[in-house]
Amino acid sequence: MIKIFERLTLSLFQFLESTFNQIFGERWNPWYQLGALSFYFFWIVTVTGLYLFIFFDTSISGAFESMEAVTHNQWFAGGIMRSLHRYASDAMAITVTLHLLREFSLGRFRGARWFSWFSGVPLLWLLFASAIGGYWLVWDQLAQYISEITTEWFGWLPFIGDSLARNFVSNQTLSDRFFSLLVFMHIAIPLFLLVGMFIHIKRIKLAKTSPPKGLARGTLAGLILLSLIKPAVSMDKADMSVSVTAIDLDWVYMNVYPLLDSWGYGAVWALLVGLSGFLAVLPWLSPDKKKAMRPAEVNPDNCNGCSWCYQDCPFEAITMIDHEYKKGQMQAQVDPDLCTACGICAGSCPSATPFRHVDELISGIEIPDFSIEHLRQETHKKLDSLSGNQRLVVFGCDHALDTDAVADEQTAVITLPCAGLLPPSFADYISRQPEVDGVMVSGCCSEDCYFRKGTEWTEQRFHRERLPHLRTKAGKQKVKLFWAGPREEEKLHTALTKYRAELAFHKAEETEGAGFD
Amino acid sequence: MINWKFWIGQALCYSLFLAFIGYFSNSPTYQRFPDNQAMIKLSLRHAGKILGECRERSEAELAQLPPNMRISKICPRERSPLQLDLLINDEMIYSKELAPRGIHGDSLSSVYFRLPVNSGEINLKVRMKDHIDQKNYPYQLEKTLQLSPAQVLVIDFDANEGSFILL
Repeated sequence: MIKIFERLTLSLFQFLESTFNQIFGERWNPWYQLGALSFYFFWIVTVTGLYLFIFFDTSISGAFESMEAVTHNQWFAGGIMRSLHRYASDAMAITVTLHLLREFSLGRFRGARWFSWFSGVPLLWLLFASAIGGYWLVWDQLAQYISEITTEWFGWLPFIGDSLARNFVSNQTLSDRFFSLLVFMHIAIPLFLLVGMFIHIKRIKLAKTSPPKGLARGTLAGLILLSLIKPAVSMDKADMSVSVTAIDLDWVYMNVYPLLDSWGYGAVWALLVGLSGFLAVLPWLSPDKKKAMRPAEVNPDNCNGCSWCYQDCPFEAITMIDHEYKKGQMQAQVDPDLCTACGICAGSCPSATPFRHVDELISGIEIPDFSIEHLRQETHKKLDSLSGNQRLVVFGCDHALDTDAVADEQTAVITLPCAGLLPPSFADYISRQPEVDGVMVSGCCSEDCYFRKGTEWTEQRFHRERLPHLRTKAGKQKVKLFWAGPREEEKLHTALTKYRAELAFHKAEETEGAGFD
Repeated sequence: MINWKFWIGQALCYSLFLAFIGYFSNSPTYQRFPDNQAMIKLSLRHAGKILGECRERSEAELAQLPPNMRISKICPRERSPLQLDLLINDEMIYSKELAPRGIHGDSLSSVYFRLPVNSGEINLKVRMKDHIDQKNYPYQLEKTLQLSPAQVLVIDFDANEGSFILL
């Protein structure tokens, strides 16, 4: 059941992402930036919240009037700030929800990635508590409704009881002290949320916490425009002697409130706690044993302590320790609990070069289920079946587009767990084989590598911006890079056709040059 | 050259996202109750009477205690539950025994109960016992009220005055 839902959501996201790639380009595609956008909205909410707090009167009698003054007397500043505060927090709830669904659809909650998933669950509660607490402070009829229902809902819990709800039964029972507590909570809970967000990304190296500038500017401009077209305003002032019958709910955050009225408090507690508990244990409910590969292993005999793998691991699974037996040297150490078996470390290892004169190619660090020796043997097997005069080897990625679709007698396809597993020297080595005219390395699109950094590091290694570099005497045209997401096979076909045309052109040039000689 | 399709596509996507936020941030209006409904909130806290009487300890009992704990008079801590009834137009709406809080049952009993009612004239009766041995209700209030639509009527108890109050 979980797997079916996972596949369905994945298909939906893949369709949306490839459509948005055509509209926004890969760099600005918002589907690849959902986590970063959530951080971005959080900062907008923080900055606007600080501005509003300057003018906010933290008392029952003054809260509503102070917000009205900010909204109407300085609509050009406070009014826009208030609207941005509300709309950015709504936007954050949407991007956070989509981020959760997308990570689920990609299966990024299993194995070593359980921590980010698990630590994200309490953040949902903190996010909603932050937002609902903010609506409470305005002290309009919406706040009155929220105060009544929320205190009753929490009062349903036996260890809290009904004394909480008694604070809000009539105008006479309201207290400024309780209101001060709410203000404190509206600051404290978002601070906890921020701490939780940092814990959430703790196990991720170079986490994307800010969207590309173009997307950030476009989003902010849009939110400001929305604030001008439809400023956020209050309902009438709260009056506990009059019941609120019709409420302009913020459905993004308060979609559960009508359920409290119709289902009752116990049922909603069961729903939300049950759903949170389900999400929290999902990594263990649905482990992917079939696809799971063993974590990377270090071979001390071949590890020279260069630390390139340590620098490249996107999940901080590698540390450098003293070498087992070589005095004064370091060696890598893998924490299997953190390792996702992407193989990016193997791609960075200088000893993973197939040019080495050894009987069996063992690199300093590699994935036991997909070793460099295994890759060499697989590639050679495929080369034997190549024919024609434009013979290409395409290295694909298990998580990107389906490269097998381009396999034919002239095109050998080898898929890797991640493009980052391919050492540049390996591509160089293959490109020099007499039966090969060119090599193409393909993987996830640049903004959305399944293993986060595989595409980026590979791009940098092959462009000589990151170690290990691609060093080929065969010429740059012998190795090409191509990135695209799933459902973009057509792009690969086009890229291969173009590549073949380039190779034909170079061949013709070489033949012509040889003729003049 | 400006790619208009690219920019128009983006503008459309931004518009859809912002329209979604703009609309659902305060729409559609949620109709919680019919407009002609009023609300009664029964909300009070009161300590029931102490169960049992104070008594003097016997010499033998005192001798068994450490010297610093030899207090001759002991009083029970446990309080009686409250019996609270609410009747509207002679129909029993709420009738419950409210247990005292605290591990030893020595704290206040409290209740919070909300009831939507049709607006208009109602006859309200509320009564309470604060000791299980009481045969009659020492605290009672009966009143005929005209409730306007959306009015919130709070029934509380003033322990100092020993009477119900309507807010």
